[in-house]
Amino acid sequence: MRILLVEDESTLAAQLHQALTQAGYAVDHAADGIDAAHLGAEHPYDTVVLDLGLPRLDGLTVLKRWRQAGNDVPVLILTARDSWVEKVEGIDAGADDYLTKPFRTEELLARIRALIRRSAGRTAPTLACGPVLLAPGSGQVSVHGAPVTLTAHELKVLDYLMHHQGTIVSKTTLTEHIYAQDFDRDSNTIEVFVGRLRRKLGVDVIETVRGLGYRMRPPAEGPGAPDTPDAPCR
Amino acid sequence: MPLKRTSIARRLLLIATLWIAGTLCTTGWLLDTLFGRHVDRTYITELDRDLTSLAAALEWRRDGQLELTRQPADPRFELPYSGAYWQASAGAQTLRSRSLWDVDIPSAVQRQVGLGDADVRRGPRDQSLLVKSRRLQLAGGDAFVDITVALDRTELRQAKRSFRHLLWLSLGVLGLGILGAVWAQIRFGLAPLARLREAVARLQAGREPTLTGHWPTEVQPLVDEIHLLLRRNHEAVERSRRQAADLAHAVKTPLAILANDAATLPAPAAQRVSQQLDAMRQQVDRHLARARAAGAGARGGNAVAIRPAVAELVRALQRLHADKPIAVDIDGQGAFAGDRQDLVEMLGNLLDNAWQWARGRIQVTLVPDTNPGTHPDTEARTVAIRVEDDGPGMPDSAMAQAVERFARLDEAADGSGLGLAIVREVTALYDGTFELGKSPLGGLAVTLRLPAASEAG
Repeated sequence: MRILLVEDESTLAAQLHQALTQAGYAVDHAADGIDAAHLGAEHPYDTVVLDLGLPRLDGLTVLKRWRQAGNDVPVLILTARDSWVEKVEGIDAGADDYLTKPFRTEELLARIRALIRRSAGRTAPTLACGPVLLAPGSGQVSVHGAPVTLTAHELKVLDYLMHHQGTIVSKTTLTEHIYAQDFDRDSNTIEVFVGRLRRKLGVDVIETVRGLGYRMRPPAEGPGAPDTPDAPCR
Repeated sequence: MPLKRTSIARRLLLIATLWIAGTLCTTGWLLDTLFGRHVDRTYITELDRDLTSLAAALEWRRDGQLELTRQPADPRFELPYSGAYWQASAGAQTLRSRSLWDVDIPSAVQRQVGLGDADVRRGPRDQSLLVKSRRLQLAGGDAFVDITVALDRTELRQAKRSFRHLLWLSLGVLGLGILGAVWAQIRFGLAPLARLREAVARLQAGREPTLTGHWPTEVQPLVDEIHLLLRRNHEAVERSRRQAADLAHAVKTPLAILANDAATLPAPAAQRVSQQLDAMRQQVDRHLARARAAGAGARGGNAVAIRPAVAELVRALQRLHADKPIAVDIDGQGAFAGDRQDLVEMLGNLLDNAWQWARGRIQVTLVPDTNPGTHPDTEARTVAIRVEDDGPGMPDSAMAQAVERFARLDEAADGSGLGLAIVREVTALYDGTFELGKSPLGGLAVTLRLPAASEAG
């Protein structure tokens, strides 16, 4: 999952960048409104964390521009403006959530997870696909109840696929959502990650759609899960 | 406009009463004196005439006796104690009118009348007499004859009394008439002030943004001054809000940084620092909320419809609590006489608190409460806003504690308590009331009573 962090205060931005990266997100940072508007319009982010008091262009204006352009990326406003009039204004401008400073990092991460989950159309906090379970908060993965250890990149790929299970995800899309902007990308590595994932999970949940990409769905017949052969994707 | 309410009217009326009373008393005294003198003069002239005719009728007889050759025409001189007397004396002999009945006209003078021409003496049967004497020499004799004529003053006094009666009665009526006219003049003259007061009341009640209408030149400066004050007040509120926002930004971002750094400290220190940071955050939030609140002072012609404000907040809260759908019902209508941002702040905190506790339903009820009789001319009214949820509610003891805790600023309340504390403080700025109670839905019912504007939206 890829996040755009818009925050002009450099110390706080560095802290948030670190916390978000640690939580497994690919993070791009913008320190002013103009940059933020540009990045948000150019890249397919999964969530934007948006400060309002920005140099050059106000955060609310940035948000309104995105919404007018039809960009429905989930936006969490993170600001010191805490009156209800300002909250209503922020929500009316198109924000999906509003968190006031100072805040707890865990609270911010929980809200980002909820935003991503909701924008993928899911309600339960834990993602499941057949026997595979993923708790996005802790990053814990299990198959038939047995924990599986994944690397950070493998986890990112699985996380994205599980959020969008049932739909075909191209390698380019995966690349865009698991790497930050300035990362040296190589779409071949995606194939490597998927291969490792298949091995580690041990069940056939990631399907390759030739020429298009990957699709995650529960196994057709459940050799390892006889009690829930057709467990629906949740 | 009752007179006793305005001391200006009372003052004017008092001054008018004093000068009217003074003028009328002087006039009355003057007229009374002039009339008294005129009556005295008339009677003295009559006495003069009697004296002259007596003098003409008196003669010395050959034997040296004084003789009245013919009786005066006035028959009263013949009737005993009739009130009309005469007496003529020369040496040892005295002639008297029959009316005197062998009594002398007394010589003791009580007082002089009419520049000393006549005097007042006590006569027979306690009659008060107007007396005039003349000393003369008759033809045919060298001795002086003293002729004295007296008239009872009863008639004279009656004339004076009835005149005085009529005089003071008419002066009294005149005085009352003038006073009535003065009162009408005061009312008319002070009418713009009464109008101003009503306009200020309308301004207070939020029905008009400014003091509309045309004003006399004496009142216009006051109206201008009020408008200037309103504008300054508005600017002051705006400025303090801007400063609060600046301060919010300046303090809160560093607090956020500290909180993030604290998380990297070893466990006991991290907990301690984060507790302190929480306390700081709550203090900052609470004081900023207070600084932002415009309060009753900024109530200049603002009538804020409550229903749209609730609807707008519900829309925002539905987004903010997207994981927890709640059905919100709004009943009733009402308008708040005050600042819109203050209303939204109060409602936002109430609804957010209810949302945290509700299981599935929130009920908002608006009850405009007309209370005629207290201030009939300013139409001071309140509007009750009740927010209820179907959550677990609060035990009675906790409710009492909560109210007490809100009253003290120093004690940090938890997240939801802080919101209610802010609501309570903003309510107090409007002289409103804040009540906690049990809702029929099962949860907490918070009722605010705030100044209402008459224009419901």
